Amino acid sequence: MSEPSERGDPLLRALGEVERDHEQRHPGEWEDVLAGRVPAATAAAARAGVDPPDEHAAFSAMFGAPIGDAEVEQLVARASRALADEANPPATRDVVPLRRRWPIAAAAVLAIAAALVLWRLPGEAPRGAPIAYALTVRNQATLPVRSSDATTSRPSGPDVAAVAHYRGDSEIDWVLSPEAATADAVTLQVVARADDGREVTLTPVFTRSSAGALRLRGRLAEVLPGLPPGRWQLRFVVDAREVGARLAVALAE
Amino acid sequence: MIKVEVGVALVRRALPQRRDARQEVDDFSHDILLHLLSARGKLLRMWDPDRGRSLASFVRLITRQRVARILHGHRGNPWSEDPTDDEVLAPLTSVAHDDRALESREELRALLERLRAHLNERGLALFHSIYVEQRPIAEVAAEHGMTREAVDAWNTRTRNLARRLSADRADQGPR
Repeated sequence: MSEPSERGDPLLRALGEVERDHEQRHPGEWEDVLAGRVPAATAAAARAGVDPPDEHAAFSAMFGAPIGDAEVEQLVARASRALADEANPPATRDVVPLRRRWPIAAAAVLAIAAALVLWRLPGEAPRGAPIAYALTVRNQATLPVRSSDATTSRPSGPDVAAVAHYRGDSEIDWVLSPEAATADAVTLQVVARADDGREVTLTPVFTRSSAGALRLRGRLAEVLPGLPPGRWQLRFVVDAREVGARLAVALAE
Repeated sequence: MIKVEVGVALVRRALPQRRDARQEVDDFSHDILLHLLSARGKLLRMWDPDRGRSLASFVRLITRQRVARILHGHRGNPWSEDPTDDEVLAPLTSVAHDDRALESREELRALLERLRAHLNERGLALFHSIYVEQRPIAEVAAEHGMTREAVDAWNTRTRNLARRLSADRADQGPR
């Protein structure tokens, strides 16, 4: 029943070969055009003679201009509506308590931010250029548990989701993913800035994947040792260069 | 990246039928984006950088699968399925259909798309690691936290699924 051979099944091997061929023929140059990194003419010249003429014409027409702000705004609007509908089905909309609506709203706003990251996510980085990183927060931000926190002392509106609340024992899972795989060793620091301008530079505990993704995972106090309680804006610094989005957090006493 | 991935899939499917895929690309792309973000980004959170795949590569994998599912009218919850039904587990007694399917590169491409539509995220990742990247099975098993036996069992199920899909296609005749 099992496949004893490292070579695997012949039919699946044939399908794997088809997939490899598909990947080798993938016209990734057009991703740079949509992201506004290279002119359409450059990508068209690179793909001419590689893609069949009818495909080349179709790709040139389809991917010949960068994705504009209007399209991004339309996307955000659609994502917002869809996520809001998902988070607040009509049958329960009126009975979701405030303390439950708060994380739902936070998740929706974080998801929309993720949508923008994904929509702009490049497939390959330009050769020789510094590698950009995208920050993904994979954990759910925790909330203060005191009952007074669910009262009017909490600000409202979409901007409040920008501050994620944690405790020292909160499990965090933050990932800085490079725009292209890299085997280079890097240094990572986190610079925390308080509202009054005070800054603390932290050396986080992180792991690095074979593709170069940097992952901060575990209890916050152990991953970011030395971060005092309070409200902070975190900047991620890879090899002395700020990368990814900034993260606003509030660390409880 | 999502848009290019979708566009390539739709163009290559539409051209032989002399259809213009441009109208559909944005709708497919938006659908896939929302798919990734739905249920508070549950699918997106399945991405594990420790498994060596970049976020871009993961999203590309999911995009291809989602396009295949839409185009093949696959129904149901895509992430709860695995080829574990008795029908799939049972080996196909006749391989005559496979021989016919293997005669044509186009048939292989079509079969790959149908298989992609039936695999879940883990299955897609295993297929890619073992058969596309051609990495050692022991290494892939360790990366996914699976035993060698579990990978072999997945391999058998997927092989039977591929043959079943190939036979179904052959029974329906050329389209």
